[in-house]
Amino acid sequence: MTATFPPKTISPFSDATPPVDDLVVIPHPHPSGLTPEQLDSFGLEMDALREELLQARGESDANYIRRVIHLQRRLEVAGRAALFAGVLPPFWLAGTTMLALAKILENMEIGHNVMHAQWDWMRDPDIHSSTWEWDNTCPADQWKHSHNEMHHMWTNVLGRDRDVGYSVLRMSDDQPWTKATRFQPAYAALLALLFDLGVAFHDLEIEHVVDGTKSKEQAQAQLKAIGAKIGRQSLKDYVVFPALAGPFFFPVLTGNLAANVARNLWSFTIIFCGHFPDGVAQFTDADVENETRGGWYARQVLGSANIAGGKLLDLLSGNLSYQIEHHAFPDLPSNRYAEVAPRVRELCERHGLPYNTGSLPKQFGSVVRRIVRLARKPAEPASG
Amino acid sequence: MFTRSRDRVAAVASVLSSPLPIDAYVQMLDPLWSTTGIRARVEAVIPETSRAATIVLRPGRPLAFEAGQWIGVGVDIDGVRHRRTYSLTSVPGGRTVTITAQAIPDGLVSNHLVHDLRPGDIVHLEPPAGEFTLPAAIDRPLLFVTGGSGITPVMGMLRTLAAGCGILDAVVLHHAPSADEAIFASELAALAERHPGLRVVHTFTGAGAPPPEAELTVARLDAQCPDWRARHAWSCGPAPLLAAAESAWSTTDQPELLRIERFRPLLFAPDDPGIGGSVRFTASAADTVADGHTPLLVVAESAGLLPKHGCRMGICHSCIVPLVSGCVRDLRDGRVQRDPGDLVQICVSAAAGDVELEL
Repeated sequence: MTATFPPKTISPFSDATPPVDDLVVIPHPHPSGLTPEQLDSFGLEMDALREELLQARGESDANYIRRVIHLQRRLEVAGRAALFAGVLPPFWLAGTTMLALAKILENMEIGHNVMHAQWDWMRDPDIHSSTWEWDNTCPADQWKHSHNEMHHMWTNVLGRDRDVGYSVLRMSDDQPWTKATRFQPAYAALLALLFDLGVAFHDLEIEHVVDGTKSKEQAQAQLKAIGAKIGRQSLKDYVVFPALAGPFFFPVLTGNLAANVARNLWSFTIIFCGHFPDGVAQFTDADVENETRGGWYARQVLGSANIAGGKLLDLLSGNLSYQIEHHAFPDLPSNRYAEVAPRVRELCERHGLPYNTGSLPKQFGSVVRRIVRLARKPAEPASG
Repeated sequence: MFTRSRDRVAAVASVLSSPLPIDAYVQMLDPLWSTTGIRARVEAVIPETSRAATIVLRPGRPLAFEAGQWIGVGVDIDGVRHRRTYSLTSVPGGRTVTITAQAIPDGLVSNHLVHDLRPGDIVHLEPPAGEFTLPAAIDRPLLFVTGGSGITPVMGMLRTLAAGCGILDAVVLHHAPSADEAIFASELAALAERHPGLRVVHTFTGAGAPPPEAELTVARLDAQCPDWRARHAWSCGPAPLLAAAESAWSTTDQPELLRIERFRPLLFAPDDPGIGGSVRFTASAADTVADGHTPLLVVAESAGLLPKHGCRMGICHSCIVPLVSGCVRDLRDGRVQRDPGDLVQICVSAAAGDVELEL
């Protein structure tokens, strides 16, 4: 078979759709309400922006990521060194803060974006999606599957994007309510505290092992890799570094634990602000059937939300403060999102697409309200 | 044994640096440190001609090599790592090594090396390799037939001989466009003065294709080096010179006395994006043909392969495969990749001419 690119439709559904000669097909309207022509125009303009960024990237971008990596490593070394004197409270606080910042930078601005292949164009094997392993309990290859493939391709499609509630929380009216859902504010708090572990076990897809769509052998192999990674991370943070401090074992242990928890709370906050604030759309399988490139772009915009803040927020959120731009251009260097954001916003406004942005308290407040609201039993039984 | 104990310390330290290699932290103190690759600092850039320069490199650890071998050199240009191979021109055993590069028109890397590289810059090396070397026992006189920058591995051999047993009987037939562009001309002359056994003959070919009298023929070999058939011979230079040398030695009883070093030029993609070519998947030993429109993932699947992949639209990078040779074109934006080792997103890339992929 031959194929042309860009294909008219990009959804893998187009291959799987059964013959429809004898059916009357009613085209499903795009959730944006835009016509196919408007979507095509939006897609072409977004592609042109992407092309412009591809042409622009160069030495200044390479210097940016190397500077961030250098800063992150200095923070980590300084934080761990200060924690050796952590028996003195100011040193414990300074050390823990620096280590937490180092872990946040590593996970958000470096690891997440390197594993998205944002820096592969540099062809530096030390800063490459195929080699990067991050300071997190989730093995890099499993993350790249659950995140780059499942989440970024099927953003906010219920039943496909497993990041919607991480299989734990009810984040949509269309998800079924059970008695256990009542306690989901507590589950959310627990997930936030243990977010790295939640992410680590995410790609196991336990529910698919239970319903038999995923083999036990595959899950066992994944589990083994997750266990090994958790072991290495714990050995470093909770055994070897504390032991090196000799009599000051416990201040180092608690400092490392606090840094990991702080990282968890922060990444949970940023990530939940990306797709669950008020006004962010969720989708069904019908919405993505025969989706065009323009339709895919529009869905990324509808399904994502930005956080308005300063440069520090951009850096510490790994530029997920530009979640919309990140979802439209997941493999373009994160330092370019701030520059392209006003133009994406202008494009959205011109095409009548909502562009969801707000301060961190506003966005996170609405996420918390959603978790609380959806914990309550729906007034009427949910249809479907 | 020094390196072995160093490796052991590195193994223990890697628990602390996990999940990154220990290199990530040691490089903060010593930028030349690496347990995985070879990093080197540029010590000096010495002009040889108007468009050639010798680059003195200090690798993080001593390099073991033989005269005549080449190394992979990786440099960052506008943020992108580019890798090329260059012959080593220094004598083995030193703490520094040298390469000599000649800038070719539109040559991104060669121009960077000759004109933009500065002392203090860091470059990335790959281990020395190649069989264009001196024999263990030199039981015959030597002959070197070179053109342009093809003199560089030969210079490495001559310097090594001069520093060791001496140059007892060697002839260099070197070809350059003009006297100004002949690399190492004065050093070769000085060597010949110190070593009576060395004779250097320069042939100037002018710009463009060489005139008939400058072409390498049996008659010219007979005139310039009458006993050429009995010598160990090495040839390195432009493709026409190598072809002429091969054809001359094929008329002798011992064509195996000629050793050849070929610098394979990078291929350019055809201008027409519709043009594909033959496709070889090296790991699967599968051959097929493809047009310039079909994603190589589809080409591989049609050839019966099951490549790993995810989104099929260029966002998840699950399908990347190293390029072995040839060119591919990105179907989204038309960008061409042609450097061996480049990682190709096969779901959004098509053949641009003949291509080999490690799949």
